[in-house]
Amino acid sequence: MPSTWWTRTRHYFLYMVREFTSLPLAIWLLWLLFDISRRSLVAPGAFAVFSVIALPFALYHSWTFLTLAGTIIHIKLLDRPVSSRLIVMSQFGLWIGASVLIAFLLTWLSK
Amino acid sequence: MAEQVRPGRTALAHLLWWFLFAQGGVLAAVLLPVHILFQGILGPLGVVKVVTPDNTAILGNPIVKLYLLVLIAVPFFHFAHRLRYLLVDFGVPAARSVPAQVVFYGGAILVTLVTIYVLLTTAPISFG
Amino acid sequence: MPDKTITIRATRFDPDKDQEPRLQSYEVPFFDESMVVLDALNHIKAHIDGSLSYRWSCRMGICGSCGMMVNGTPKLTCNAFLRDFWPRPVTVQPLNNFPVIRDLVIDMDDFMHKLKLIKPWIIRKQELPLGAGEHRQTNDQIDDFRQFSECINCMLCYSACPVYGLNNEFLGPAAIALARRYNLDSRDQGLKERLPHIADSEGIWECSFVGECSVVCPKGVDPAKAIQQTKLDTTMRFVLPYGNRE
Repeated sequence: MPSTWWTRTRHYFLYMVREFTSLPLAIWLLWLLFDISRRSLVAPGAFAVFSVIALPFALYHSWTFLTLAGTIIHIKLLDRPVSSRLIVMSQFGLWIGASVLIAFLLTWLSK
Repeated sequence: MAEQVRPGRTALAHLLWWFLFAQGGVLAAVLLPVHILFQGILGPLGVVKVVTPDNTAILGNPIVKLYLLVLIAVPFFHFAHRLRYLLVDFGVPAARSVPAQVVFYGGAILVTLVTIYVLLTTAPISFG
Repeated sequence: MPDKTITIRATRFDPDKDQEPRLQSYEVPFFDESMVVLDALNHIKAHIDGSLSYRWSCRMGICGSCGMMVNGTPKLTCNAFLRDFWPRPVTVQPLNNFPVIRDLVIDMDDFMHKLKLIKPWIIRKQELPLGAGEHRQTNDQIDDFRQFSECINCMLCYSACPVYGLNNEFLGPAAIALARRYNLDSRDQGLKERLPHIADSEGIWECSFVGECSVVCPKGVDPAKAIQQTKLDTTMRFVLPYGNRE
């Protein structure tokens, strides 16, 4: 199989993008850890630029991961299978809920 | 070809890596975007006032430390798994080998230990 | 009005004569909008070049014999309509990721071996005596595994799967989906026998959920879903040994 197999279709390519999102997110977390170890935002300008790049990758990861959770989770409630749409919606609900809570904490705790 | 020898027993290590991959993936999916947006973009650009790493009162809180440990360390098992298989997808079969697993998941364990160390030493534990 | 034709470019490979496969072009009359690629191949074999070799049988999408690469996508040639390609040429090649025996015929031994490995039949710890009658199942119980029972063993999923393409040891989508079909069947008690092959280092864990298998499946089996659910169920069996099991 040619090593460029993933350029053959759009679906294959988007799969590689999805997998690749791990790299910028890993770097971002390491950068955050580094800043925590230094107890300061060491290079706020560069961090902001990198974060602007990392954010779409994070969103793509979240979107694909939480959507696919509907495929993988199969549970029965009162003997009826729960629809995958409901499961996906609950995942996105969790995402939105956690994001709102954390956004609130990150801003409110800075006072 | 018809008589290939197959492993034929449940691969517990692979089960564990997959489980950690899944947990880390959920955490990364649910938590990372808001942290990147607020602590990476809006905060540094001064759009919103956001908790910064110099805030030793917050960093001293043990619940915050625990949260940061979970936020940073568990997703790294997700990243390690994905990046290892990304290498496989790029045509590097050696990435499936046991030494490669040691490198990648060992790396995630290393990040976990470093995170624990940083969180314990960077700001004294306080319940302020 | 001139008769409409379509160009079929088919792989020709005779292992006794050729070093490498090559493409040979044929002009096929396209006189009916319902014509499929298989019709074109049959026309070539009957009227133009009887040496072209390919597999086919039911010509209605149920036997799984006529799987080939059509313009780079694994398809059942009985299900690939010429009208979707005309007026451009249609390139027909043997299924990816399998050794080629001749022309468009591939060696499916590896798949057959894997299919047998997962024991695609009802396994009972103890057979019911004949006098006890048949196994009873509700519609809901059949619904549990119905989707995965639609597999026609056409192997398009193996052609689409890059994991299998990169690693021939990988158990593969259809085998895992069929294992799940039986594991979920209320009449079956064979999960323990199938598990060592499904969950070994060349089984479910090698799947990275590309999902192309489900995209190309002509019967809507969704093997990708079967594999991911198997990963979760297998993990839960270890985490909660007395919890929800199949």
